[in-house]
Amino acid sequence: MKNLFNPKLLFIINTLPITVLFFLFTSQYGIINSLLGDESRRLWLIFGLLLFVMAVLNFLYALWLTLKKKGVSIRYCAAALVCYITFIYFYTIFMADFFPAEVPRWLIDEHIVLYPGTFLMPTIFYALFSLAVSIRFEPIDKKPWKGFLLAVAIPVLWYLFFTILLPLWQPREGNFFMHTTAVLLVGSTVAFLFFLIKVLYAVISRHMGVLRKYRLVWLIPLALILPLVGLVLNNKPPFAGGAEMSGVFGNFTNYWFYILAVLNGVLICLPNLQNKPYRFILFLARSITFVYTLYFFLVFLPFLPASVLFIIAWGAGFLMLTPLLLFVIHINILSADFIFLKEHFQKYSLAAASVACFLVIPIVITAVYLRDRVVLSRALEYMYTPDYSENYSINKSSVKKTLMNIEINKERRDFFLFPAGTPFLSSYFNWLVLDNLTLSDAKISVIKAVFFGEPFKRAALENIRNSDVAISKISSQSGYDKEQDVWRSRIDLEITRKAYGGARTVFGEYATVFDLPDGCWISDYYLYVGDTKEYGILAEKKAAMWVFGKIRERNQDPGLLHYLTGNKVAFRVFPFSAGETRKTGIEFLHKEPVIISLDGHSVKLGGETAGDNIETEGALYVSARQKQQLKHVKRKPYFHFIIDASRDNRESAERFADRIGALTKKYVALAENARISFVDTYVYTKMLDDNWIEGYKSLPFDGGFYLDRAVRKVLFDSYKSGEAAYPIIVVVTDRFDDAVFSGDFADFKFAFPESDLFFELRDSGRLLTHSLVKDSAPIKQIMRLNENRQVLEYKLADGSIVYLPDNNSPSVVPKGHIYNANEAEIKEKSWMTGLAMQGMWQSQILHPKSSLNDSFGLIKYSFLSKIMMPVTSYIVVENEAQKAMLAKKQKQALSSGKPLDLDEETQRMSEPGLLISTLLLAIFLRIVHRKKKCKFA
Amino acid sequence: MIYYAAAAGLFVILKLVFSFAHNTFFGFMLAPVIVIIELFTGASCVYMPESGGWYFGALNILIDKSCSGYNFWLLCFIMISFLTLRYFERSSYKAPLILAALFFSYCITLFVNTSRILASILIQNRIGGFLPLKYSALIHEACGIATNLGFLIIIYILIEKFLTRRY
Repeated sequence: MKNLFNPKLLFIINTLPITVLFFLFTSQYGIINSLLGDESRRLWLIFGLLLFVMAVLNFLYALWLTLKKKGVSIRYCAAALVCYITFIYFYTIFMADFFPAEVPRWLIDEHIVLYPGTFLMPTIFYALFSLAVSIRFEPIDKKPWKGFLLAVAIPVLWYLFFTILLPLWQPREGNFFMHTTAVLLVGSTVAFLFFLIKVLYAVISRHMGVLRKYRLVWLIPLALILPLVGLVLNNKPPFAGGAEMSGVFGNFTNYWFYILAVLNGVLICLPNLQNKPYRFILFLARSITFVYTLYFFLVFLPFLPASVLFIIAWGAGFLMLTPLLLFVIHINILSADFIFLKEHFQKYSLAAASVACFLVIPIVITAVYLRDRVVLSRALEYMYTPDYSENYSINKSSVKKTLMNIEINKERRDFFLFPAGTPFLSSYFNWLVLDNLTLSDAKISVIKAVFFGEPFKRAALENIRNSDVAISKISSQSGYDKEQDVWRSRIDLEITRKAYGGARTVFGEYATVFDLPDGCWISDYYLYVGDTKEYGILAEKKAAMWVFGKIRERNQDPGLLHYLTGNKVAFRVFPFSAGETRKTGIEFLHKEPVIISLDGHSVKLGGETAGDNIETEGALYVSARQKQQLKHVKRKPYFHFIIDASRDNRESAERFADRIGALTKKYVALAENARISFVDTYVYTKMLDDNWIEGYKSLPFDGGFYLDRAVRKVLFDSYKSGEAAYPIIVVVTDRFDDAVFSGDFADFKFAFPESDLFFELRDSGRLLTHSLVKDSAPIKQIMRLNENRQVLEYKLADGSIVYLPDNNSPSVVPKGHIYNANEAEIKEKSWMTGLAMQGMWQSQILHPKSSLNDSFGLIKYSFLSKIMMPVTSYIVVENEAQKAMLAKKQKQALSSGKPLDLDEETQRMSEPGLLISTLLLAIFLRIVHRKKKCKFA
Repeated sequence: MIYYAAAAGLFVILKLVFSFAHNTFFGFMLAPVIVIIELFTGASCVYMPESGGWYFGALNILIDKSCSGYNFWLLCFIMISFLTLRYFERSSYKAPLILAALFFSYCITLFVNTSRILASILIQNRIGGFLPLKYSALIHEACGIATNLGFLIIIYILIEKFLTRRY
């Protein structure tokens, strides 16, 4: 019991948790500060100060006791119990003022309400326990059953009160009744726990002999049966597994919880024989499972104050106290083992072995999670940042297990008091495996479709455009920048919502999509919020879209501009009340005159310039005027068949062969040099020959039909080869709608200058067209393929040739190699910077894997130049809190990757200085020598 | 006594060398570390003449002479030398002992320094996301001190035990 009053304990149970609590609350306050009223701010300040004062006093007290080598006093325990309970009580009472309704819920950390309870509970429990074991209370010490009756009487009385008295109660106005009940409930819970601990302590101290003699009688129920019953009741029904199943206190459906519960119970119940090897092994095994006991102790600690309520509401609520008792028993057993073994082994070796064993389960869990991390990164790399020239092979069963883990751990619950997923482990999983980000349901569904052939539902095209919101006035102005030889133009818009009352929703949204010509970039954006002209903030695209979505839920004032695919830009403004007109505008940077079509309004921007071609290290810009002087050529077309080799297609080989045979006979010229790709999860490409069917039949047929990857790979190979030939893509499948593909390939537009079409070969030999650039384009049947398409040939400085579409618009094409712009070249609102960044972006389209880290470089360059790129968005937000949240989300989104260049954030892996190392080593040696001297003395 | 002085002298000379030597001199300490880090993290590095170090783009870290583990090597060397010199009576053993301590501590340094950098990368990656950037250097420093001091203490205890039992 001496250790219980060791003042150093206070540093661990009080100072450390309160420091963490401070950190969490400071971070939260920083975000919502600007939205709080004076009253709320004062409240934050008072509670912050109170907590600070209590923590400092605790720390000083613990320090003083440590220096004076004194134990923690009972008076301190009583004071701490009262102070911290009062603190939590008032925190709960004022909760609504801490987080007033004006603060959007998405700005508040969903767990913040539980934090004070979680971080102050160790001190409260410590104080209560110390008081219970120290205070002498003759009636209970002598006759513990009296204490037990008292403890039991408390939930019983509350039960009677809630079932009999409360329905008859006529509450008066005001909060008096609520406060009285709450105070009584808190007080009686403290009394209940106090008596319970006291009784247990008295029974254990007085009847140690009897308890030892009949240890299995009480130990088996407590260590084995009750934990199992608790798990079963929590998980009801047991062993069900899956993400939908989750118990009251968390998801403990994994069968390892049951195995460990049995193992832990058996190990605790085994007799403590006086046999050295047996006891040593038992000690190690008990140390291994101690982490299991500790885990459940920590899980149930925050619910301790609610134990009385749980017992009243739910008969089996007393099971909540089992982890608490088991924790005490496990510690006692371990210390008994230790005392026995230290007679035979060195004390430090024993402690080290025990710690090592204690770490076994956490290490195994970490190893499993790390494996999940590796598998997940590999699967995500394959899906989203692949190297098109690499052949992938990913362990599908590992992917399946990992996805199952993710689904269990991403579970959320509406009722805030109870944890979602598996307590602590889910957070650990999210932190270690997912970097605290989430894997969206959509992504999980795509991965499942690709790897396991599960049904794929393509995301529906967003159609949020309100018919009653339209552009009411549009004007433009262009200015010529002599220095850059470019135009800087602005389109100003007035958007109005109709005034009639027949609108379906209270707030309308304006949303449209427009095409940016090649070589034209967005360099600024504004939106009037009230009478204030708010300029857009350039933000990382995912963060901006998340914030926009959240603000939209709150009917506040965001505006958003971002790229979709290729040169398509989405433009959204929200909200509009009936009859409201809002002003907004976009600035463009362009070299030649361009026409922007906005919602049926065409605006011509800029005038004539020299229109020279510009070839940089990463990209080539060919002006519309210069295109007229280029040579027209016809590249040789060839068929590239993409054959569905997904699940359930094993029997399709002959059918597909017939179709292909018929088509190649019809177009003999296109069949020369034709290629064929078998597509399941992966893409296997070869030249089309008579034996292709053998290769096809040897495939596993266990994945989905990953058409998206197949088309991209064909386009990549074709562009990289630089041949004077181009593929005509023909997809051979019976279920085109089940193919996994994102919708369009507009980002790859530079790779198909001849035609925007690819084809589907149907069972009767019919060819249907699909668009490579528009997801929504109508599907048509064609009778005859056009084999005579012309393109323009352009010779680059290094002698290689690129092919451009034969049209009257400028073109920007990549050089094909991996390209990163130099930061020194990045200038604000510079057209050349736009071209350099466009080259970077196109390089990333061609080489997603190599440029994984460079996407952060592109974001940074986009911020520096203020030119919007496909990885960034222009967003107007209403207030400082939204800006703070945007910054936080942005940091979170960027933190999972690294910036491109060596900058102030680059960490030098320097070793500690010689002086500090020497000093610390000297201190250590001094301590060792002093100990030695004492020993010899 | 003369051998203690010799070890201390060597310590001082080597420390002076550190101040004046160019980055490339530390290749014998950095090259193995860089190879192991590349192996463990899968990241590749490039030599950046302007900063005089090896830059790992994927990890956003720079390894130069300040990260070579040179200080640890010196400290480990002097500790091992002083610890072992006490146990050997014969003078003929003492000079080779100092050289052996130099080599032995070099081998240990490679292991410890690699562990320190890997631990720092791991911690940086894990904690970096939710701690302000200004704390990164502090965390790195703390991690370095804990690793280096921890290993020095372990080495001290092991050698001391080994020698006490043997002699």
